[in-house]
Formats: sequence, C-alpha cells, structure tokens
Amino acid sequence: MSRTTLCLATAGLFAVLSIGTMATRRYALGQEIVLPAGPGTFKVTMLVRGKSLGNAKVQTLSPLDFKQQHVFREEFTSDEMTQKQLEGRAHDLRPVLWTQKPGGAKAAFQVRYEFYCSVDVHAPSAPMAKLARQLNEPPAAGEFLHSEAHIDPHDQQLSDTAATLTENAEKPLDQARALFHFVADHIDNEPAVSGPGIGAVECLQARRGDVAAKARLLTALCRSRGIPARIVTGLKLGKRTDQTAHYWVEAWVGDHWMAMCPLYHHCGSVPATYLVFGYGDHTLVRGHNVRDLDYACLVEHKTTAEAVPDQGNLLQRFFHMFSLDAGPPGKQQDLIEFLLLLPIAALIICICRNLIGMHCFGTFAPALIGLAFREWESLPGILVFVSIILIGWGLRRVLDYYHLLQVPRTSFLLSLVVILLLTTILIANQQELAFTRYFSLFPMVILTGMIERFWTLETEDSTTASFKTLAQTIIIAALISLIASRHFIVRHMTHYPETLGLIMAAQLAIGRYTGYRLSELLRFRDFVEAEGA
Amino acid sequence: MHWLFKAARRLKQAGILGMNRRNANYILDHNPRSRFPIVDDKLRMRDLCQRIGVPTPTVYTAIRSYAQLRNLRALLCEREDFVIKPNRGSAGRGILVVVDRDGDQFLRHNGERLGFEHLRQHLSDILSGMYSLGGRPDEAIIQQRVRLHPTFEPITYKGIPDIRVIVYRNVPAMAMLRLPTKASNGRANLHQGGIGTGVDLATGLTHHAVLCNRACELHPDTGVPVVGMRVPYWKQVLEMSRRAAEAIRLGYVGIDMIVDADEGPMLLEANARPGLAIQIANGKGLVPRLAEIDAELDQPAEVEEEVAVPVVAGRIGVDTELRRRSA
Repeated sequence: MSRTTLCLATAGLFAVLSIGTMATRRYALGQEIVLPAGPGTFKVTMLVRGKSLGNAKVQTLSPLDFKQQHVFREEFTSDEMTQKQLEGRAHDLRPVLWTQKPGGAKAAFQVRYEFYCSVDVHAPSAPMAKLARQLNEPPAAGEFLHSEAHIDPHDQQLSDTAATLTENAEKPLDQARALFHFVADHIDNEPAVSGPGIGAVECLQARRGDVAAKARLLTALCRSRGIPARIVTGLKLGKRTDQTAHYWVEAWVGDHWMAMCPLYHHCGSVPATYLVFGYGDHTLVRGHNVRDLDYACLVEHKTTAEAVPDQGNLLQRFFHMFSLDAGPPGKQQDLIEFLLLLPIAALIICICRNLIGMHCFGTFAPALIGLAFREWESLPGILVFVSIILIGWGLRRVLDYYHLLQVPRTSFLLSLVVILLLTTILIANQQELAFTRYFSLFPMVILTGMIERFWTLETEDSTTASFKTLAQTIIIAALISLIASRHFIVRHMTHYPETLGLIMAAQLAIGRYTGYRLSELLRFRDFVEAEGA
Repeated sequence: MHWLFKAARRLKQAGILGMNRRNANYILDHNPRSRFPIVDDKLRMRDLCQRIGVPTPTVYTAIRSYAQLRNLRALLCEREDFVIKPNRGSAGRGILVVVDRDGDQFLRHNGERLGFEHLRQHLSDILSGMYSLGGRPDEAIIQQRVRLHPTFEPITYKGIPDIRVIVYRNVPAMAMLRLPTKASNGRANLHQGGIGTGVDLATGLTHHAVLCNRACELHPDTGVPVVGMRVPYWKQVLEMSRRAAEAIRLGYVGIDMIVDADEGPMLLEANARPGLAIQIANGKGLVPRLAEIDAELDQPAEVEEEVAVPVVAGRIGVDTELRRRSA
C-alpha cells in the first residue's frame, strides 16, 4: 500500500469515526444536544437594562456549580459592555463584572446572561462535590452570629421575641423550627419591589415583609438565640416565569445546615429547584455609574414527552458522561473552547502554507495570535500587536550596534518588549481602553522571537521580504481570528467535539497533498505562459 | 478559478516539481532524517569528502569556543585571504569572505573594510548560534578562499559562481551554474538577484539563463553573454557530485561544487532540501527527468543489487553519448 493510500485510508477512517459519532450522538440525544432538556434541566435568561452615566459598571451573579446543581453553556452577550468573570473571594460567589466598552456614551445599555442548569445531578463531579463540602462545613466559633446590614440580632424587641418563641425548645433544631413557624405563619407576605430592602426589625414591627425581609428576620431571630444562620441568595426555578432573586435561610442546627424558606413554607430542606447563586444577602445585579437599573430572569423548562427521552438508555448516559457540558462553568469552559479551536487554527495554517504557499513567522504563532484576539474586536488588538513588532524591530536595529551575544541580546529584547507592553497597559488605563484584557494571552516569548526573526530576515534577505512575511502572518492570524469568533463554529465544536476527527482527517489529507501551491502558479508563471503560447 | 486549474495543468504538463511534491515524494521518501546532520555539518562533510577522495576547500582552523577568540591573531597567522563560515549554517548565512588584508584591516569581497574587532564579533555571533539551524551554539570555520576560474571572469561580479547539481538516487538529474551580480552583493543566491543558468548535463554547456525569474541572455553588470559557455572540468564535477551523494546516502540531494583557478573542482557543501529554482534556470521541469531515472533504475528487477550500481554509473556515459549524437 502506498503512503498516500495509507494516509487517505487513515483520514477516511478518522472522518467515518467522527461522522459516525456525530450521527450516533444526534440519534441518542436528538434535540437535546442543541437544547438540553430533562425533568431537572432549565434554561435561564437574565436581562439587565440601565442607563450609563459614563464608565458604567455592572456586577451580576452566576449560580454556583455544586451539590446537585450543575451550570453549563453560559453565554454572556452585550453590545455595550465587556464582561469578565471574577474569582469569588471564598468560592461562595461567582460574580461577573461588566464594564462599558471604551468610548461608550452616556446611553442605555443591555446585558444578557444565559445559562442552562440541571438541578437533579445524581453523580456530582469532583469539583462540585468539593465545593459542596467546603460550603457545608460547620461554622467557626462566632461565625454567622454577628449583626450586619438589615440584620440586627441584638435588637431588644427582636431578642425578646426570639426568647419568648423558644421558651419550650431546648435543642437548636427545635428552636430553629419554632422561629421558622413564627416567621412563616405570623408575618404576612408581600411582593418584592425594587428599591432599598426592609430590615429584620422593621419587618418584625410591621408584621409583614417581602421574601428578603422575611429571610432577614428569620436569620436575625436565629442568631439572637445563638444559632448560626445565613441567607442564601438564589432563584426559584419553575414553569415559564419571570423572576427576580429569591432568598431563604440556612441555620446550623448542631450537625448540619438546615434550609428554611419562610415564604413558601419549606422547613428542613428546600426543593431542588431552589437554584443557589451564593451565600449571604446579595443582590443578583448591582450597578455603578448607572441609572434606572432593572433586571429580570426568564426561566424556561421543556417537559414535553419527546424532549425527555428514556433516561436509562446506555448510549444516552454515555454521551452525557462524555459531554463537554459536564465540566465546571467559568474559566474551564473558556479553556475548553480555546483547546477546541486550536486544531481548527492549525488546519487554517496548513491550508495557508501548503495549499496557498504563504509564509509566516513561526509555525503556530499566527494561531496563538489569532485566538488571542478572538473575543474582542480584533482590529485594534492586531494593530497593537503590529506596532509592538515594528517598535521592537526599530529597537533591534539600534541594538545591532552594540554587538551583543545572542542569548543576552534576545533577553534584552524580551525586557524591551515587556516595557513596551507595560507602557501600553499604562496608556490603555489612562485612556480607559480595554487592551489589558488579552495581555495574559499575549504570546510574549513568541513576540520577542518574531522581532528577532523579522530583523534576521531583513538583514539576510530584504526589508521587503520581512514586511511581506509579517503581512502574511497578520493575514493568517486575522483569518483565524475571524473564523474562530464565529459563534456557530464554537457552538458546534462544544456540542460535537468529535468534529476534531474530521479536522484531523483534513490535516492528514493535506499532509500528502503533492499538487502545486497557489503561489507556485505565480512563481513558475513563465512555464504557464510558455506552454500556453 | 478556471485559470488556476488551467495554470496548474500546464505546470504539470511542463513537469514542474512543486514544493509539496518535492517534500512528500522525494525528500521524505529518499532522505532519511538521520543523514541530515552530515550535510548540515561542514566539518563532517569535509571528513567524508577526504575519505572518498573528493577535494574540498582547505579548513585552516575550526573555532569551537569563545576562549579561542583571544588567540584569533595567532589563528589567522598572516593569511591575506580566507572565508569565515558557521559550521552548521544554511542558505549562505553568516559567510564572510576576506579577499585582502592590511594589518588589522580586512577587505571583504564587496569592497567593505572591516576592523579586527568586527571579525571577532562576527565569529562570536557564529559561536552563539546566530546563523546555525535552530539557533543552537555552533562552531566557526576559517577556510581557504576559492579563487575565480578565468572562464568565469567575464560573467561574474565580485564573488565566485557555484554549480548546483541535483543528484537523485545517485544519478545527476539537473544542474545549474549560479553567477553573482551587483544586485546579489557577490552572493550566488538566486532570490537575492544572482543569475541562474541551466547547464546541459551531457555537454556542460549553459543553455538557458534567468535573472529574477525572467529569462536573460547577458550578464547585467559585465554585458557578456551567459548562455553557450562551457563549464570547465564538467565530467569531474558530475562524477564528484555522484560520488558525494552516494557517500552521504541521501536519495535526493543538492551538491554545490565550485571550480578553483588552481585546484580545479571542489565540493563546497551539500543540501538535503535543494530548492526548486533550478527548474526556472533550466527552463524545464524536474519531474520527467526524475521519472526517467526511476524507470532506468527500477527496470532491471532481475539484476542483483551489487551489479545495479555500476550499471547506473555506466548509464550516464551511455546517456551522454546518446545525447551528443542526437544533438
């Protein structure tokens, strides 16, 4: 068997396996691949609107990924804002910070956050179980007993009420139950309206309160009896409802955290559809330099028969287990996207180099540059990149007079590049430009190598050759950036990761392509013309 | 789109070898990676040539460490002319030709004057790996400067022409003579503005010439015709290339030969990835010639391996004779 045949056969095998897996996945999961469904699977869309007063900042909360609740396929979209996921201080929160894009006017903005969640995960992943363990640990001495805004356990009237209510109860569990029944039964329910919330004491005096006020009252009552208690901020998932935040309480009753919802009369545990966003008295959306901030969440649930196929099917369980949705949300999903896009970028480089005959600095450097500039509007990013190369090149020419040895010289050049980047960061900060976002992704060493190679090519060949190669590198990087930022490609890759097989098949096939490169038609054009004549 | 396919078809008809095909069918199939270090290392190449009796320019000294640079004056002796090269350089990178000397002043082939310190710096750059493949630390060699053969005088502008012979499966497949011009700054590289002239394998006569990918007749600087001249020592040049390729054990190799005014043909270096410009210089494609060699070598399947090699060697002779008769 000739090598080409072997190669094509292998490529064919890869393609068949890849398409086969895709078809099987499609057959087993059906619509669920695109629209996850199931008795415990919900789609939540949070929409935030407001008016910027200039340099607006908004913070939204994302649900935690722990216990039986799993969050996946998060999508953040906004025309006016860029978003950044912040690391929660104690892993008990997942805040997302939205900042207005540079040059944004004092105008209305909209932010959209979409995610899917399953609240009936039977086998939580290791990170989920670990976070659940962390958050279910017994409180430290004195923890969850102090007073905080809207919760004052030392108020005289409040502690008297608490003492009276728990007269006949000794164990913390019984005391907590007694306090719960008081708040649930004797405090009237009110709808929640936006604006400053009502504190525990006011709620007790008025004998009525909204969901947050009742939760604060119950927390304060527990704390005044020495029972550690905390508020849980979340969302109550249900059928097609517009929602705002829901609040409930967890009290440490000696051996575990007991959940209580005084609004809907749940004591001991709350339904699985109570989606936890974080521990503490938080608002789901907060704004800075913002007017008329408003938000709502839409919860969607598919329960039609065809959307919920037999859960016990072995094939389905297999695909669920090896779905990329199973991983923790946040940073890891970004990493997965990056990894899935890298082979596509490599394929584009194969095409550009072996089919078209383009030249570039470094084999995979354009891939890294292209993917680094994928998220934000690519053009300014690539311009910054080009100017750094050109400035670096100018410095490299000056450096040539010093006649330095190679390794110290490149080290010096690297330091210069670092200074250039730092300067860019400083200028970007002063001008409030969001350049710094992708500097972590900036292939700095590659940048230094490129400057060095740019200079070497210039001295050995010509300045034209250097600029030609740089231009081609940028074209390839821009092409990669353009293709990798296509939403449907990213989505397809996460839904059908087996597409990598097809990409590898294409790479194998190009690996034995012995035809002419496009540039060679030009290079050997004399032969084309001669034959034609 | 249609034009592209038509152009590709015409190139195929002309038998032009493309980069992809060269890599996939010739280099990957015939050049085992393990043999690359030999051609990439000029000192090893010189040892190999000495073993098989192919002359190479004399290496005066090899500099392996920075410490040796302190004795540079002693190492250079009183030599008036020499060439400094990186041992593992490629594509003519880092080569410095000194043609004359006045104390600590050195004259380059292009008229530039260099001080002693500049020379030391250049050697130090070579040692640190600036010109080597992959930037690895390298050695520098100081070599005999080859003198221009009188035949080439009218068609050379500062520098020495060299002869590139592509040897496929130990049979010379195509050859070209590279002439330096003013534009190429005395270097014989085609993409830097040197002239490439195709040489007829049978006769050693130049038959076609290109300058910057365009056909030309006269040398741009001297105005002398470059087509129709005979390369001196042609038979030896081909025979030495063949012997070198055989010893290197690379199936598809470019051998660079040079003709010294006093010592005749010498092997300069070998290239495991010879370029494709030789086709433009010759005005014809490599593919038919390579297929011809394949056909000749694969034909007598019954003949035992040991016998096959001399048959091939003889065949060149037969081939040449036939060509001569037909010409």
